[in-house]
Amino acid sequence: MIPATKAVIFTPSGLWRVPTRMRVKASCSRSSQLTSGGSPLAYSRATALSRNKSIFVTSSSASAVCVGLMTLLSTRGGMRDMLPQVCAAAGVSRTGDQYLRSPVRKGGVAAHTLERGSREYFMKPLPEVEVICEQTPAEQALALRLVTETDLLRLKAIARLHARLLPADLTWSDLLQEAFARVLDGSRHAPPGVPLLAFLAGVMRSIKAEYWRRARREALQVPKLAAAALEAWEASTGEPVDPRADVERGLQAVQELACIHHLFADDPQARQIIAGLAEERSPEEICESSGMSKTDYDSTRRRMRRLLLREGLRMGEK
Amino acid sequence: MKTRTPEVSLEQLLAALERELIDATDEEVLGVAADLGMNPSMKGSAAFLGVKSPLLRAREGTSSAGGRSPSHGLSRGERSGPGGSGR
Repeated sequence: MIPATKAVIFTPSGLWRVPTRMRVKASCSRSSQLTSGGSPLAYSRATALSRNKSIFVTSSSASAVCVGLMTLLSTRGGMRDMLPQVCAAAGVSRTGDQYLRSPVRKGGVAAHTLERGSREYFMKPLPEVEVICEQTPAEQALALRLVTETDLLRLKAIARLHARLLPADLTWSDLLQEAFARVLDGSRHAPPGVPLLAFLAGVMRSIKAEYWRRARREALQVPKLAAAALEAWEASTGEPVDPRADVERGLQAVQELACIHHLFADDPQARQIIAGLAEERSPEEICESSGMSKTDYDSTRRRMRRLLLREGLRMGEK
Repeated sequence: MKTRTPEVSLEQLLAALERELIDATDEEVLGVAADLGMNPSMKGSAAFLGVKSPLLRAREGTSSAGGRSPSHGLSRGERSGPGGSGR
């Protein structure tokens, strides 16, 4: 009897635990048939999967194994709309739909033989690997009725708002899932009276802050650019920056603020509101200082909300 | 003179924008999803990519999956638009 293997797939964006619910039996050699022909590297990665229970997706060949497994998961698990993304991640020429239309080639595990014309005659049959797929933390929270599906979309938009300038190794999805994971495993408790959505948003903020603290500790030098950006900030706002403040943190904040302003570049009224919000001014104060009527203010807020949602829900990784 | 650091401004702004998103009505959220060609009520909807399913990124040097075409990554039902087969 082959023991169940809990596969962990490392994607370029980080780690995704292939989690609990769905159990799919997938032979590694069979999954590589689904891909662009496999390669010695794919074979070695597949072997690594069976030995170390993990795949490092660092090249197209290695990714091909991942695609094979993910295709099997997707065709049986209803995650069809992510297949093109999987294929894009692997850099394979065929689209996810083509994979779906082409069933897995019939044949035994030892079908990769020279006699049958396969390029992979050197491949040996691999033991079957049972991929255990569990729900993502966000999906678990949904199953527990802690949040609704629409809440998940709101949180996705919030995660994206916070992840705008994060480096490639920490995505908005990581922020979101990690926040849910911490709430579900009890490492973070929502204080009484605080709505869960607001609490989760706060957890995402603290994960991001943790990340930057760690990154700063690891940084060896403060770039000159940081000081220049802070000087520019002082010049534009006329307000001095606290000299004790961390220069890098300041630079990061300036960049993020610029990013948000850029988002509303085509909407002057939205920019006025943004400036007011950054100074924690009340709606009345913002209206007064910008000469905006209450109706204009409300309709601008609606436009802003819509734009934020649009940015948060769009396709794409960033 | 009152000292306001960029960090403080950013925190205040993010908190305000967060509130905007939290306060968005279901109709607003679903309306935006529909504008993007997504149908969150559909099983496997692209709206939940990275939420209910992992986010997989394009390799360096290749265009992102989302950048290929507006409909890239949408499920078949979502690509076919309203009236397309849902599940």
